[in-house]
Amino acid sequence: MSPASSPGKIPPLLLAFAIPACVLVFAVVVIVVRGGGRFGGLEPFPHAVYLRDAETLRGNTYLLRGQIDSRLAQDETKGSLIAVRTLDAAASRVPVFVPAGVGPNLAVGQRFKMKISVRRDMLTVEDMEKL
Amino acid sequence: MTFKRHLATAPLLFTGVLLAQGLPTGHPAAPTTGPAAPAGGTAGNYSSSTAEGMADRLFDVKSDSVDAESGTLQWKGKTFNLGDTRVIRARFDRFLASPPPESGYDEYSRLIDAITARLSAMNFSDTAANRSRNLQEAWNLLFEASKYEFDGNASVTLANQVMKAWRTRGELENLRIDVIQQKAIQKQQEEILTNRADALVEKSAGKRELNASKKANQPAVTGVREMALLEEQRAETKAAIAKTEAQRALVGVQTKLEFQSTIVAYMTQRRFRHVLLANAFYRQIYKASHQQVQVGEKEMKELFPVSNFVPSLETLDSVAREAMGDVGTGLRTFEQLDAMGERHAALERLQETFFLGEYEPGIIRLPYAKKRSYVELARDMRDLQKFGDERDLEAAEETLARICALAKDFPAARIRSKIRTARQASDMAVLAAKQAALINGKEGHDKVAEQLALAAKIWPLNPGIKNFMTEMTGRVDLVSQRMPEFDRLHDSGKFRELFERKEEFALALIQDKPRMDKLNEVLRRIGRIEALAEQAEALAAQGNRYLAWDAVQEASKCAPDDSRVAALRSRYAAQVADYAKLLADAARAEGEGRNGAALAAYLAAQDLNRGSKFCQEAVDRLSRAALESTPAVR
Repeated sequence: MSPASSPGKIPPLLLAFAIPACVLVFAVVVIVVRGGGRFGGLEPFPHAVYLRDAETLRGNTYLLRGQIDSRLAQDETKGSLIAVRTLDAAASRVPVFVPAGVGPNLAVGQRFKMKISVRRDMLTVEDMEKL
Repeated sequence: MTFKRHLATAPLLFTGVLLAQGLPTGHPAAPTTGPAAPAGGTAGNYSSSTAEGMADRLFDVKSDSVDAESGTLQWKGKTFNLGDTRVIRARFDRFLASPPPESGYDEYSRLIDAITARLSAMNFSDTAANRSRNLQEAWNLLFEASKYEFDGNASVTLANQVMKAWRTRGELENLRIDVIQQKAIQKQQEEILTNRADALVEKSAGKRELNASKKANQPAVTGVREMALLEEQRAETKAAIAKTEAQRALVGVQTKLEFQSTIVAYMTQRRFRHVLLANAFYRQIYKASHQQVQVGEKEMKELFPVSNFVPSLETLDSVAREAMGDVGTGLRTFEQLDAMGERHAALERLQETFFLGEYEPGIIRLPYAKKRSYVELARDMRDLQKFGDERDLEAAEETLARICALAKDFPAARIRSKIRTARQASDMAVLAAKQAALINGKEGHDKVAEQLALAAKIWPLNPGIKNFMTEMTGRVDLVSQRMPEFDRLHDSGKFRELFERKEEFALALIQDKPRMDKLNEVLRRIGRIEALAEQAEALAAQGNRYLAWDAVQEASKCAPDDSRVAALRSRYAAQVADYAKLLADAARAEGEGRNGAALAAYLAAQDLNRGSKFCQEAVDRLSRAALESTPAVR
């Protein structure tokens, strides 16, 4: 007797469609999850290039993951200038301007994921969320 | 101040000089006269006038008795006038340099002794004929003595004076005879007058009786006239006698006074042997009642400064003998000091003895070799005095060194000390003048003039004065040259060169306030660089290379092109290459107005050098600037 005619077994044709579908769904989920949502598609901030020649990065947007090291300056209307230590291998500090109204309350030691843009040579936060 | 002392008093010269210059206190002033000088006494007079009298002390050979300033010799309270300063010095120099007489002096001396012997008082006990013969022989020998040059014609002067006295005696005798004759005539005239008077009286009485009734009151005219004539003749004779007697007295006194004058002259000339000879002749010619000296009141007062003192020929005789004895004592002292090597003291004693007994045999016969050895010392001591008078301190010091080599007993320490003190005082005045030159306006000029005058007064030939004057003269040129040079160096940022030549520029630009302000700023900057350089070297030595680099960076801010900064930078740059690169990038970005990049670089540098004050200040500064330049985001 052939296995396809057995009433308790999953039809092979179904399996042939179901497995690729599951893989496809899984892949989509993974892609969606791994894409970071609001910060999806952003390139990591090139710290070395920034130090060497910030002008070449002008107008670009990057993803910066870092920890607030210190507050350098603050203006109630404009925002805050903070020093952020990057969470990459270099662990360097960069000055980042957080405009007023962007992001949550800031405190030294907090870790953030930031969407930054290079305006002239100043890194300016467009969006940020705690890690 | 004038210097009244002769070369023997040279050690005291500088005391007078320096005291007169009003030197600062702290230098004990030496007395202006020696320790034996009487208070208020004249310079060089070490004798005590109260010790006058013939029973005084021995010739004080330690005294300084020659006063070259007044040209006098003080000896036992007696003053001998030696003449002009230059003359007496020349006499002493000539004495030292001239050889003794080769021949003749012994014969001359024997002649003088022979004359003295013939006039000796012992011969007075002889017969009148022998006395007269001795006197005549002594007188004759005077002419023999006068033939010698050492005599200086003193003997012939005495012989002439004796001759004059003898002639005067003859003249007096003639006058005496005249008086006797006139008195005889007078007596005769008186007798005639008496007889004629008696005759006239008798005749007059007879006539009165006969003519009593007719001519009772008529006088005997003829007799009266004759009597008047006789009386007139008698009066004339009497007047002639008085005149002759007066003439006789005058001639006698005049001759006596002339003789005494000769004796006093011999005494003032210090020809003591001729004083004795003249006295002896005088005694033979004049009586004992004529022995009081009546001439030369001024000279006698100098020789015997005692009130109510009546000098006699015996007094002069005694003084002459004592002086001759003291000359011998002085010469023996000189010989002794010379033998002991105390040449300075020996020269002083020789000088005193020479001026006292210039014409004494002991002085004239002094060995030439011994005298000659003192010529150089005497000349140097006189030069020392001259240099002291002229305040030529350098020459005085050189001369003093020569004197010390010639006479080890010369009291040089005090003079040397005074010279050095004077030099220091003059140098200090020059220094004060230099300081005053930095003061602007009239006050500065007056102060400079005052200090220079003081410096020149103390030491006219001070080379510092000349140098200062040269500096002042060249200052105008200096200013005109230094001004553009300063501007060029300052504008080109060569602050280090300005710093190294700061005295030169400060002196030249003292009156130029704007440039002086610039110079002061340069000095402040370079001074700061020097301090930071020291700090960098210290930090590097401790291993703090990054902090040392911070110091270099700070110094670089003061003068980026400074050579010291460049040297430090090249020394440490390789050791802090990463840090230096970050700072360089930061500085460049800051310079270009890229505050964000600059801030990032400083933060990165601070990560390397956490204790960097330099980085922290930059971070603070750039943070404020970056925030201010960042526009508000809507």
